[in-house]
Amino acid sequence: MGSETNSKAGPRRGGGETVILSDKTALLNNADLPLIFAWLVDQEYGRIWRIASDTFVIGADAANDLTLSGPDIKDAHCSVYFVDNRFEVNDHNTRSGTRVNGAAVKRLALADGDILEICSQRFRFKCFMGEGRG
Amino acid sequence: MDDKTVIEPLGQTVLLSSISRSAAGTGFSPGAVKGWLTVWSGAQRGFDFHLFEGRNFVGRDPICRPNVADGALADFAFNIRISGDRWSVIDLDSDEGILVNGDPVFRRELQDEDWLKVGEILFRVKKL
Repeated sequence: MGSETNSKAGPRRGGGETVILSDKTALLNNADLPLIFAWLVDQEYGRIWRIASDTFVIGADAANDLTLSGPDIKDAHCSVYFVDNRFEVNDHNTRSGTRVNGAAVKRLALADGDILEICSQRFRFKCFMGEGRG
Repeated sequence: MDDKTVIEPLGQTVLLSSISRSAAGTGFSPGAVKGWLTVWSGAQRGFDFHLFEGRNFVGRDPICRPNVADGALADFAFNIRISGDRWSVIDLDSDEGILVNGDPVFRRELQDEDWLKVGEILFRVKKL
């Protein structure tokens, strides 16, 4: 089982910057930013990706927040957005699609524990659902 | 797994050798991640720390896992003990004590998304 938080370094749209540390992810220069805590957990290997900004792009492009490989995965396959104090997944008009809890979706609000499926790769989405979620 | 934290008659919390034997100080990843300790205020605002089955000694001391580098936190502030689905928090030697959802506690079972406050530092737990 993997045990590292994986997060791409680099400037985020929210103005913070994620950095990789051994067992934790930090936001730098974020004193005035709203906090965003959400995670994607690989259901096969247990790897964990922290979602710490308002846009989290998933796809084959190496510059994405989460890079996946596979013949049916587009460069920017789908994104998870934090908007209006909730998380949404948005499929980028892909042929193979994006599924949430088994159902194909174009845009859908995500809930804690949802299973996000991109081609054959499955991730559990985790986030705070109560007050002060982000 | 029995808790090795004991209270001496004078009220001083003593950690037996469990710290050096288990999660803290012996390297990273004592097992699969069971959840996260997230930091909402203080010097480490925005950090998330992995929590594992067993004892998770939270504090400023470098051997703590999670090691929270915040000068306002005690060297060994509290322990989040995870035994299956049962999570609990145990105060160690934090000067300010621990509030769980606003209530002062020494030991308290934790629910998903509970808030922990130690001094001015606000934490929140998330179960995987």
